Amino acid sequence: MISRARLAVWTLPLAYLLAGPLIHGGFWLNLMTLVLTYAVFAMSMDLLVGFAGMVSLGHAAFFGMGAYATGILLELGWRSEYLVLPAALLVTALLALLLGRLSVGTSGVSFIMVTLALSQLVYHVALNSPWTGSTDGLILSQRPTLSPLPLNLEDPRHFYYYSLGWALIVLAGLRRLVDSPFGRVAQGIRVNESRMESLGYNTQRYQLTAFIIAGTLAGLGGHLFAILQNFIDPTSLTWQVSGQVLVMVVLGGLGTLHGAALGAFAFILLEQWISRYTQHWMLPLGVFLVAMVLSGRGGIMALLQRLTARFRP
Amino acid sequence: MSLTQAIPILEVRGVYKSYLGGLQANLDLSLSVSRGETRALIGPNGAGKTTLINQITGHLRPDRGEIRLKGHRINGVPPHTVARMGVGRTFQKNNLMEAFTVFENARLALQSRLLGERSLWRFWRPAETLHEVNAAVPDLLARVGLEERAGDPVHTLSHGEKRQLELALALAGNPELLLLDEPMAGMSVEETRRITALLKDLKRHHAIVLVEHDMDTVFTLADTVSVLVYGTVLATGSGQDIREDPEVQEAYLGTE
Amino acid sequence: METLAFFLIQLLNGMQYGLLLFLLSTGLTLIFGVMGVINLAHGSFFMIGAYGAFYFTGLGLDFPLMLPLALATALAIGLILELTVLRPLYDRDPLSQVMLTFGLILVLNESVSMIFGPEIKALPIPEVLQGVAPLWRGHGYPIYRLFVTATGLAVGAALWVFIHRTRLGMIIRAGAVNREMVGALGINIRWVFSGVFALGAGLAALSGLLAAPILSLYPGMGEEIIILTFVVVVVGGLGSLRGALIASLLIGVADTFGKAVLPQLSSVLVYALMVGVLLIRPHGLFSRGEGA
Repeated sequence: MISRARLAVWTLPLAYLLAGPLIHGGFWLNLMTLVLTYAVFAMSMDLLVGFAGMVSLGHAAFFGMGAYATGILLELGWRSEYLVLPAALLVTALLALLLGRLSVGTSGVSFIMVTLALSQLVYHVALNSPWTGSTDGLILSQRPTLSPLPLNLEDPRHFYYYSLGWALIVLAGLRRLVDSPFGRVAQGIRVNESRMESLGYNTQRYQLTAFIIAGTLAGLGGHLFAILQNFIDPTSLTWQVSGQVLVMVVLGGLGTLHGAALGAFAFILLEQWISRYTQHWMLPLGVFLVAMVLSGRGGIMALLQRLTARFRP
Repeated sequence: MSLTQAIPILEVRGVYKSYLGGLQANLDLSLSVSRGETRALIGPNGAGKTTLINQITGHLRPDRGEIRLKGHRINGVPPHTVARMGVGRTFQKNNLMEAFTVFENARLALQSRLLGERSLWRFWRPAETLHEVNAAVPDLLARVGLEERAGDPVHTLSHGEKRQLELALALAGNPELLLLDEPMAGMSVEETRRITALLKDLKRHHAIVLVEHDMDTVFTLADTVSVLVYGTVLATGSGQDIREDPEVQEAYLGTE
Repeated sequence: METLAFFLIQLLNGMQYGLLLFLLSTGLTLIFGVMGVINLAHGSFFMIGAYGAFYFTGLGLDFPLMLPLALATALAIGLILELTVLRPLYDRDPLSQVMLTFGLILVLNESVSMIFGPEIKALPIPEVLQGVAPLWRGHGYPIYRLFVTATGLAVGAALWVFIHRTRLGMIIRAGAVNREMVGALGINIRWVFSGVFALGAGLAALSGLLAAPILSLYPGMGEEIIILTFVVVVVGGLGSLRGALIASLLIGVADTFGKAVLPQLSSVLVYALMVGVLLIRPHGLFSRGEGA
């Protein structure tokens, strides 16, 4: 399990996350909650890309599905989070099953293009469908309720802790998943699919399962996102969003899970900071991406490991 | 050794296979392997030996003809199903999980046999808690002489050691039929001797189809030899018969 | 009669759109087939071609002069990119390729936005090609669009001849199947790669150039069309030129008719078509066989 040293390293950031709302004001709260929703999204993508080895440019479809399902259910009058959340996740899982059946089994490059095109299909449906509010999107007039629990999701602080709770659960759950018998097989398939197949594993089934789990978790991120913004529109479903989340994962460190969360944090903060000075913040991001790939040096986690390696005997 | 079963473990009947661009790799290829038999497949490069192996394992589908495993038709059956039907295979070029340790490679292979399809649903408890699987790893590695290297990442292994791991992975499933594609390619004399001894032992429990270039190995291990030339079987017989067959000599052994 | 004229016009529009997609998808599929690289930024060359036309027209140049200059500029940019950042990708994994080309899109888009401004721009139809040609019973069809269709067909034919009837084309086809062997034959594989990339980029730029007076220009215009290009390649089968042609025409016509008849559903129609094809032939209509 987790070593003592590792645990010690993470207590500081965790303490900061827990104490943050008591120190900072509304802006911090809003920003960090956004980071948390994207952290969940990014971690789900890390499962898919970093562990199962399936590079997808269509993951935003599930993020969006979770968000839209939440919006639609609330509009229909559903109030209880105990019903809204599972329902939104179920719908997202079904979409993941559908899209997964169509895309899993195609080769690496084809898979990228098929997932991209399929998520564009979902995007266009959201853009043109009256149920989803077309280009205007959906406004969430109310947040779901957690009664009988004393948590009030309308209160930004409560919602922050709620999101933090989910993020930690997802992190812990994925940790278990990747080390489980299933997870090890999925990783083996990433490293050498044909070998695993020759060992008797029905590799497509494992890939589809990983795809569905990753999609559903992205839907959880979308659910939290919709509630945070009290709003959802098709711009969250584009492949550029999928690409940006992929950047978050790679930035933080592919295949580390907490790296994805870290990457989400870094990316969003950088975006906030740089866009104060220039509209064209995408340019340095692009240059950075190109440089990062060419240098092949891993993400933030790898950098941290190299730095801390100096302090180890 | 007595061959008592009536149904051959492997039957290839009239198989044709061509690649895009018109290259005919297999042409009316037929052969039959009995349970417990060790069959060597020899022939010049490009004769279609690996293509045949790939059609047996399900990586390729024959254009025409039939392949039967234990009486069941397996044309186009996917590789994982064929593997579960009791076929273990080594690849001509090392095909391992290079980024993982030797232990993990073997463990994954054993997990497949011991857990079967249930691996798909085991999401929660770490793989470390699969005691039955983990306990079987040292024995498997010891059989091929890799017990010392269990903790090492595969990419640090020598070529010969990797070939040994290939063999271990093929054996993990406890297969009835072993398809070994040049298992000792690139091995030193010492390693070759060790693996030949292992294979001699394996002969007693498994049917083996052995693709080989080294004639000494062939004559030591094989019960029967099939000569493949230009995609079809030129001759089948005991090692002695093949060695003395004038057609074979002309087509293949002539240069020796 | 009105409906027949309408049908004819939409068909011509669809074919023309399909040919534009064909130029794009051929480039993409060639680059992938020969170098094994998926270039997300392929649509950016479409954009560069379009903005090149805009720029050189803005300098007051006539069409016959503008076209080669714009094309040459795009080719130059393509070659520079190939030599500097894309070459290292040839042996890398798909994720690295996606990341790098994604970054490239960002850089190129923002650069165009900074140089030309983010507003939507329009380009007038070149003088020499303005006007309407008589089509059928009093209905006319824009000459420029006929020119685009003719050019698309001519380039398509020239490509076919080049790939299937010349020695260089044969080398390219061989390289697509077995890179190492071509190298072993003593042919400088690096030059083949650069050449193929330039060809692909050039085709994309030409497509953008031709489309410029018909579409509106904005920095993200490459992205929209690259998605459709991907759909074409998926439907046609990765690596197949024939598949690219048939799929582009199919999708071009479907999209055009869709937009004219059922505007709401039109965008979904193309993707639904793709889903349909994938259900029957998971590797595309003309895939390269087992495990393309």
